[in-house]
Amino acid sequence: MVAEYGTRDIVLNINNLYKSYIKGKLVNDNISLALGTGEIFGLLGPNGAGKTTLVSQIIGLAKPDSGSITIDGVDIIAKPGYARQACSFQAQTQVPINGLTAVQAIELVGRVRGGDTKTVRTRAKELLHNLEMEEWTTKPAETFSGGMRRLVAFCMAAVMPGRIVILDEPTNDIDPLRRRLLWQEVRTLVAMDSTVLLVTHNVLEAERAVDRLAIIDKGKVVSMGTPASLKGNGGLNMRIELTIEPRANTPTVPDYVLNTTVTGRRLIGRLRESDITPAVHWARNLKEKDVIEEYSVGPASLEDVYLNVVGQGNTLVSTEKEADRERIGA
Amino acid sequence: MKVLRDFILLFKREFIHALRMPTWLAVGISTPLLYLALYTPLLQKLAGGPGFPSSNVLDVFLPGMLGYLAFMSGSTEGYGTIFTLKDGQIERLRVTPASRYALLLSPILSDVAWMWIFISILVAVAIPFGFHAHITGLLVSLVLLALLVVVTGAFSVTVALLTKEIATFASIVSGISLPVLLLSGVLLPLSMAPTWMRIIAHFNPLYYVVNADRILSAGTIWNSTVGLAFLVTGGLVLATLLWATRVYKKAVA
Repeated sequence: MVAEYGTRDIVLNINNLYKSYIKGKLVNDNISLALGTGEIFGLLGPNGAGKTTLVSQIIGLAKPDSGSITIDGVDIIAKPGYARQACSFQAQTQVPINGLTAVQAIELVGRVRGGDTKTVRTRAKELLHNLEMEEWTTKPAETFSGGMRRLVAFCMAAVMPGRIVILDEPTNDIDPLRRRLLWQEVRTLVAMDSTVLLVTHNVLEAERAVDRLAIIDKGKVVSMGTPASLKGNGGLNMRIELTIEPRANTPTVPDYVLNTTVTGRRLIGRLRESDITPAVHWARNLKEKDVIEEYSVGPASLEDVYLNVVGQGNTLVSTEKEADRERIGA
Repeated sequence: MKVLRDFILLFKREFIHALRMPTWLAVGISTPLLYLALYTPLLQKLAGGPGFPSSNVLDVFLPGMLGYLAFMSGSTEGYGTIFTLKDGQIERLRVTPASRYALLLSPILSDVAWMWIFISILVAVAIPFGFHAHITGLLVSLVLLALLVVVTGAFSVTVALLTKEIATFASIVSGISLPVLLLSGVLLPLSMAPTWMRIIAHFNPLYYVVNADRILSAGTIWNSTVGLAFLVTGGLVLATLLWATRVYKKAVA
């Protein structure tokens, strides 16, 4: 499945990629993706979906069983060195920078990536300023919090960005204010003609940050498109949510409420805009009969799409706690 | 060009990193000085006897110490490799375009630079106590010792990459170090040893370095023992670097 990438030039092209670690068990199962210049592409999926394995192959650390990966038309399976030059990578694990200051760590990577001293120094200063990290510039990394280390790791990936910047859960541990600043910097990377591949299981952030996304589950791309196109898939662009009374049974759902999922006392379903009136009537009836405590109807979110596609069994970061954090300004 | 550029960048990082470890620096400087302060009095009575022809035992003891320093500088390099493996530095470097040769050689050559500094301090301290320093001989000796650090450093890094954990690595390194050091005459010249020990010593590369070191310190440069030491060490530099590069490239593929 290859989604449209508009009129942009293709930077990363993955075709029919298969990868297995244990014989017979596919970690990536026939994955095809095409990323265009200057887009932010989200790779969304639960733990163990095969996201990290896919990234490892893009940056030349692992070889697929079959299929092709090209960056700017160059076969990076045959030339993994090209992938290392073309991709800047921020790993999900914390970056080991003990023994260095923030600016030293950033400048070292910038120089190794081929930047000259002056350019790298200016860019490092700019990033630290934009992320409001100036007071940590010359402090030893041993004194940094997890969030601060994560920001330094982001700067290391962004200082001399490659054609593709791969960010694996870049906002973990970061405070709400700097999260916002970081997303601005991601937009700056795109303005600099880099393509950003965002690997995450944080649906709320992905919904706001990406231009397009692919949802991966059990090694397969199960859905791909823009957030809006995924949310409006088949015209089911509205959602209804019911909170069932503790002692009541789960109500029978009318035909026009589709893709229903039940988590504890929460029932969530998708519907067309034209079905809002009967749905509200149905829900109000249930409330009057004390079957439900409350209900709400609104536009569908990416989380609803995700839950429908991936299923309820998978753990999401966009839990109520995360949503609370988002509401206070993440 | 790219290799050289990356090497300079990473070498600077390694060298400066050592400055942030005052304990390592203090131990690095004080250990050879302690050997000098505590061993020399023990050897004084041997001056003029077998193995110590000079009236000052330092002329024999100190060049041996330099061999010991070089050997230890390189052979402990693998500890750093295991730490970088454990805290993910190698994993991080795998995804950069940094030259693999530069990544391998920069910590080893940083060790060479620090060893030269420690040796300079040691020699400067020993001169007032009667050590006869021959500058040209010492400079050639520094080159030979640098080659020895590359051999032991490359060997140590490779063993570290293969074992991947401290306990196994430490037992292998200490298991090898003891016989190699004792059969090289770093502390006591092997001319005092029984014949069987002197025969076995010929299979020990450090033996040639220590012998050459003593000759160079006495001011003789053009000598077959010195030439043999360069030949043996140079050959081992090639062999260990080939092995290390192969293993390192696989680890940092």
